[in-house]
Amino acid sequence: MKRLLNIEWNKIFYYKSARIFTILYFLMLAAVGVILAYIKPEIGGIELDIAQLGFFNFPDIWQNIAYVVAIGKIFLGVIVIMNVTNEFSNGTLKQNLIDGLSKKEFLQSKILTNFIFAAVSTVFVFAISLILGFIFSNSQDAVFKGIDFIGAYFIKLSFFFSFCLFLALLLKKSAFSLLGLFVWWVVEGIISVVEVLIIMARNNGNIDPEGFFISNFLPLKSSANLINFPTMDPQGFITGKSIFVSSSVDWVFVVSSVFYTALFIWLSYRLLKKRDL
Amino acid sequence: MEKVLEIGHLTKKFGRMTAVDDLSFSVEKGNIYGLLGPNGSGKSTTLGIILNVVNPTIGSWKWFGEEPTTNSLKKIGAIIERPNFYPYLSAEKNLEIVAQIKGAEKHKIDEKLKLVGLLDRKHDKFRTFSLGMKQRLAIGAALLNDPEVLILDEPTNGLDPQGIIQIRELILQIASMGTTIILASHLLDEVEKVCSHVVILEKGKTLYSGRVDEMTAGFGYFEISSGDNHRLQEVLLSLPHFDRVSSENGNGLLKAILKEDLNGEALNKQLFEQGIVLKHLVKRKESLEQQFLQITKNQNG
Repeated sequence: MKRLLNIEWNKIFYYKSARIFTILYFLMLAAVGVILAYIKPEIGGIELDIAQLGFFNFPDIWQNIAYVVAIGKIFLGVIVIMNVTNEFSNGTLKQNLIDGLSKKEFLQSKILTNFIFAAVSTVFVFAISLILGFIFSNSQDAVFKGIDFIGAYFIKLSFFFSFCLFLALLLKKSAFSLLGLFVWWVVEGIISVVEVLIIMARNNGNIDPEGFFISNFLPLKSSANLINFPTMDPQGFITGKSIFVSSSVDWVFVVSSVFYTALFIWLSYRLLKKRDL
Repeated sequence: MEKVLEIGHLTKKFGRMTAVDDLSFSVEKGNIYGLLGPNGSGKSTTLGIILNVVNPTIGSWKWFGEEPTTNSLKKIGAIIERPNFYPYLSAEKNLEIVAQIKGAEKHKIDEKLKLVGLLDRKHDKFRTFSLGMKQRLAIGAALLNDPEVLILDEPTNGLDPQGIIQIRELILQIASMGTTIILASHLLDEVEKVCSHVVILEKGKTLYSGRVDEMTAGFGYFEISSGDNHRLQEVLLSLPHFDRVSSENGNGLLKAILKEDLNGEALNKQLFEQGIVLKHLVKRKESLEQQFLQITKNQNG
């Protein structure tokens, strides 16, 4: 394993674009923390201070920060994709195999990288949330109560990178892989809308937003459902407390996301094994 | 002779196209083998299969008498089609990755860079190299683990005359150290200059397999048979006209390679005087060299 990591380290660390994007990504994570905490935009003459809204309160902060920074995963996703598609365009995948790396080892090295990216990113988000929480939270009780969202963040990133890895192996070109990601996202959206329309047609136009939707278990949607948009209740604001309602990670989506992570890794292996390079 | 590589009935189909068609040959230790054929004759596919990057449709092969694994690949050095490296890494870093994959010692990097004449450029990025330098770096990388076999696919493709000479000299230098070499090329001239043995491919089939000097025999050869081929062979060898007589083909025909000019009528007469009646007598005036040129000419035209 150390050998595979050494190989990957040489491939990525000295690749300027990957290094820049990685640094940018972590700077961005830090910047999000700073911006959320210290930039207070005025909307209609009222200063919007999200700290006042209870954004940084334990335990809600874990979900809030994890939700906000999750969009940044696309940065690392691009690196994951480039890291694989470059191996095709440089012909180095073929050369690696000829030199005696097995297809399995090649894939292992990429998956290891994915998990390391996910882990480092998770630790970073954990640290940011913890620091901001200690500075701004109005209560220091129940600090680690919502910590399950940090675990969910790790699963979410691991799934996303495995999916990117699969797309990159399938499509071989970074532009096509990113396009593939976008198309997949759109298709999932369309399926969701169609499902909603069908249910509404059956129930005379009524729908229960909390009800069961098959489309919630599509790959990207199920990973999105790991960390939902924080629930808010204006009542909390009026009473001067927090408008955020504490929630926890739905284990059903943990299971489905882990399943999809394994599925895409398995599909990647099959694809690589069968392909003539 | 120790067999380094044995290929048995290898076939690869891409859809309806058969790239390699029931190919069998073996490679003996210490020789330089040429894999000669026009573009699209299946050379690269064959090398791809024995190097584990292309899955065969059917057929098997053995490296060093064993079933192929990634470990056998670590005893082989190979470059396919073009030098494949990370363009953003220095020559040294690129070789470091190769060394990590092959499990070669780090100190070999400088040694091999020196061998291929790139030691003073080791800190320069791969993308700044000329094609000749890239090709030499590839050879250096392939040699990192001091392989028993070196496989080169069109190593002089696209190089200028000076680059071609450098690569050829390097190949001969490596061969003189006892490394077995398999060289794929579409250039007859290159194979003749460098190789001792040759396998000629056309549309995935073997056209000829044997020594290079036999291939270029200038006087042609007879395909010949009689009721008693054993006796025929003895008589033929007693005649002064032939270099060698072989029955390798397995089709009941002897192949008598001429070392001087002789026509069929004269041979028939001589054999009849010795009491041999022939069943089959064909003179192949056309040498394999000419056949090969014919193939490549058709390809290019």
